[in-house]
Amino acid sequence: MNSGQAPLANAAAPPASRPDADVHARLQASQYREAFALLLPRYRDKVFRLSFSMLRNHSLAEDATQDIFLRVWRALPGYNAQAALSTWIYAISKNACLSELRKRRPLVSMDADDEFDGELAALGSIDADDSATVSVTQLLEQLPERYRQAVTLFYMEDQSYEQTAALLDMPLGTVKAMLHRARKKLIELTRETASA
Amino acid sequence: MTPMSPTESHDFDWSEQLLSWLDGDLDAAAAAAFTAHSAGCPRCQQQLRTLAALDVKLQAALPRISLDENFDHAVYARIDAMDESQRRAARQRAEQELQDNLRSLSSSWRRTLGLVIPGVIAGIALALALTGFLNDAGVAQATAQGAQGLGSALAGTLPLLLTGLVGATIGGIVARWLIAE
Repeated sequence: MNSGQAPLANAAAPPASRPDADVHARLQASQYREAFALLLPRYRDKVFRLSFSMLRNHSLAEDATQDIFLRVWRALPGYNAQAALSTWIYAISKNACLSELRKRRPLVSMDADDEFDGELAALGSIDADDSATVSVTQLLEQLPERYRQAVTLFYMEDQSYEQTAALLDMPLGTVKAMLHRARKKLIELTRETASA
Repeated sequence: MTPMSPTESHDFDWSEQLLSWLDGDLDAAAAAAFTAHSAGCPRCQQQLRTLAALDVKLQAALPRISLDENFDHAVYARIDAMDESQRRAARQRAEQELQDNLRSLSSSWRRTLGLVIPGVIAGIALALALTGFLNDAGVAQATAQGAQGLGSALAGTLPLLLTGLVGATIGGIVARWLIAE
């Protein structure tokens, strides 16, 4: 075992030199449990936010996140490090959420948007003092799905373009352009509702 | 094509600049140009206020949700349950394999004995028939006379030993042939 590796106690802080080098070292030594113990706290919240941005429901996203990490655990011995660990985990996450959406769509298609609106309202205390405009959740509701997901992740990830781009597996420039368009659209919608 | 209104023209020129300025993506010269413009532009100032308000609302509506260690415990519990069921399935498979092997070995022995015994009996019967034939041909008497030179005890048992040896050899060959079949 490489003596320069970070100890398990520092699981949330990957070495700066190469992302997830400590996880890769454990995987090469077939220490899957140890590798998993490092990656779980590191990716738990990101996967959860990504799931929430797609499923739009807190408890569904939490259940999906559990399932995703079980899939990661099962697939870990087969991970060949051709893609970055984060890309691999996010790809598993997106596939799992898409499966979940496909499974649920026939049942909840009519209510999904209302549920999302309610979920967002429950997540943050929205200032309702501006009676001239509708709530931001209603405005978000009117954005195309891709923009809405990008906006959701951007604000949940501390307004980091890099993190949002990594989670969506999109180039940084694309994410910036999407968020610019989303903001402009939100402002347009604000004006439209104010003038209506 | 309809010409752009002054407002549209303004937004076309400055809207992207404004967003890039907010993101800190403008170089020093472009940032200075935008700052100079926006200082005297009521529309840009209005847009900045609107964006700032939107930002605050989005931040409030989309907080940094997270999971705690209870989530990790739940994941590990499911992994352990999954691993335990896999181990149990592996144990069952190994046990089943062992039982199958034992059954197969036992049935193989029964089959072997079932073929060897009739084979040896058939061989002895053939040997007895051969001995009778040799007696009739006078070969046995010549052998007994030769054996008398070795000793009277051996002379009595030599034909029996020869019969047994020939019978076992023929029986073994017949049994092997039957097993191979």
